[in-house]
Amino acid sequence: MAEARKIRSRRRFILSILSVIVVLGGWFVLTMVLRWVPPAFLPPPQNILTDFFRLLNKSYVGHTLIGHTLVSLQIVLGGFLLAVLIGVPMGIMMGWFKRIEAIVDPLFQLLRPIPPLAWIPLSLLWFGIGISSKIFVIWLSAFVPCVINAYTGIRLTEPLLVKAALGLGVKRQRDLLREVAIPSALPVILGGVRIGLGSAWMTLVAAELLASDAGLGYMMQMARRALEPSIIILGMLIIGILGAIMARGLKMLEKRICPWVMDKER
Amino acid sequence: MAMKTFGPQFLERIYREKVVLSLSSVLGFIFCWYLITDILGLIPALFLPSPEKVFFTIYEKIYIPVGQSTLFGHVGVSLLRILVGTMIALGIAIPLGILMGWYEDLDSVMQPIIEVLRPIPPIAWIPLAILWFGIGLGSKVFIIGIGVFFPTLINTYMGVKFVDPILIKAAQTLGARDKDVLREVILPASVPLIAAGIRIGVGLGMMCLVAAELVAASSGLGYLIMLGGDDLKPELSITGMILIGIIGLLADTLILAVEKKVVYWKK
Repeated sequence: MAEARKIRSRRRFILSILSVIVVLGGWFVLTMVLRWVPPAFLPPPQNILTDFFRLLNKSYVGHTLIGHTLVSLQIVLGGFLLAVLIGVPMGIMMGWFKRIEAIVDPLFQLLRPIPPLAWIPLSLLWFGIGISSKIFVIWLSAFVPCVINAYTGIRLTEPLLVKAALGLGVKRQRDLLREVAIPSALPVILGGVRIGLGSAWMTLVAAELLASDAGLGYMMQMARRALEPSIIILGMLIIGILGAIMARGLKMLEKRICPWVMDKER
Repeated sequence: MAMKTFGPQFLERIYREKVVLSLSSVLGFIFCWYLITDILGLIPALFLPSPEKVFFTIYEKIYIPVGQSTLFGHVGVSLLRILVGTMIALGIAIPLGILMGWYEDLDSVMQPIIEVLRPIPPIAWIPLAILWFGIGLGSKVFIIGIGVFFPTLINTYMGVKFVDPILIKAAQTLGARDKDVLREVILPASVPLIAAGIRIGVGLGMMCLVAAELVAASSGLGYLIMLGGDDLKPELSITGMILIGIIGLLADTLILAVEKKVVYWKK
């Protein structure tokens, strides 16, 4: 059995490596050897690498690669943190107090189906082209999943736990909320935070494509105008990698904050 | 949370209070909007138009064209884009996901490519899509397609991968061939996950549609939203936002209804 499994995983590994080699090789042959695809359409793979090193210390449309990345990160983290700080408590309140739910929920349902991206033009009109309009839209995009998950998490609190706590002599609502409802809702809340981060990252790219003077999205948009697809692809890769790193980081944080959840999964 | 009595009268009182609070909340919201724009004039119409103005804009644009077409035209264009993009993405993602879940070798080949492409938000494809396909239907369909593709693919794959092996073995013992197992066991068992994937995908596709139309388009609801911002006519933007919201809601409801029909055995 162990032997068979070993062979299978080796076969898997070899096939994966082969697949990557074939894709990269095919890309290289198409663009460099056969030259079927013009470089203004799809650059050869090594151009992306050379552009990466070139832009590391040479500025392109105003900043170096690191500069653009830092601008983007700063905005996305600012909007995201604001969304968590406001959204999670609000969701908890909505889940706990029936009256707050009755007042806030319908408004929320009214605004929720509108994709946060669609707010970009209005936000530009309200806050101008600077950082605050982007923070607003990103805040909005991360805020919604934070609220919904916090709300759902609290609502899903096992009634038995509440009864047990009441039976054990917990008197004040505040203690019930803090000691029972919030810990039991924590995994769901953190899930919402993770969705919010992904959503924020996506919205940032859209906002930077539309109206910006710095950042990765702006860099890609300028590269499009200058017909430099290698810089566009470079931007896409960096956005993808950073998004994956942030998601991984949150997942690790989640493991730290509520280790008991991970035991259940798998 | 903590309730004292559960009599029907008590529940009815709570329910009635909720309806009253909810209604007054929505009405209060619209009234405040009305108050700060039209009645008190605190916020200029260039910034935030009154609800009345938005309402009349929707009404008016049904027969007065904006750009190249009336409101119906823009809605139609957006719907067409999302439909074509979704159909193409589903047509590739579902079969590919099933095959990847079924044939381990194909899984090994596809996995590294997908893992590289998946973390890239579909919206980041917009500049490349415009470069490749221009600003017409092609680039929008491509971006929407990418948005729909990955959630559907991943869920289909997971659905097939996590079918209870006992079910498969039982079918095989009863003499089912691979083809039968796939059609009679795997597919039905993975439909709920596939449907969930489609729902997530279409939601993402709607966002991609808006983004693509905001960045470069000469028609569609996203174009309307952008035009409103550019021409200092926020009522036009709000019109587009409301319609996009309604379409998204309808699409979601539709998918849920179809799912319920297809997965009739699951309550």
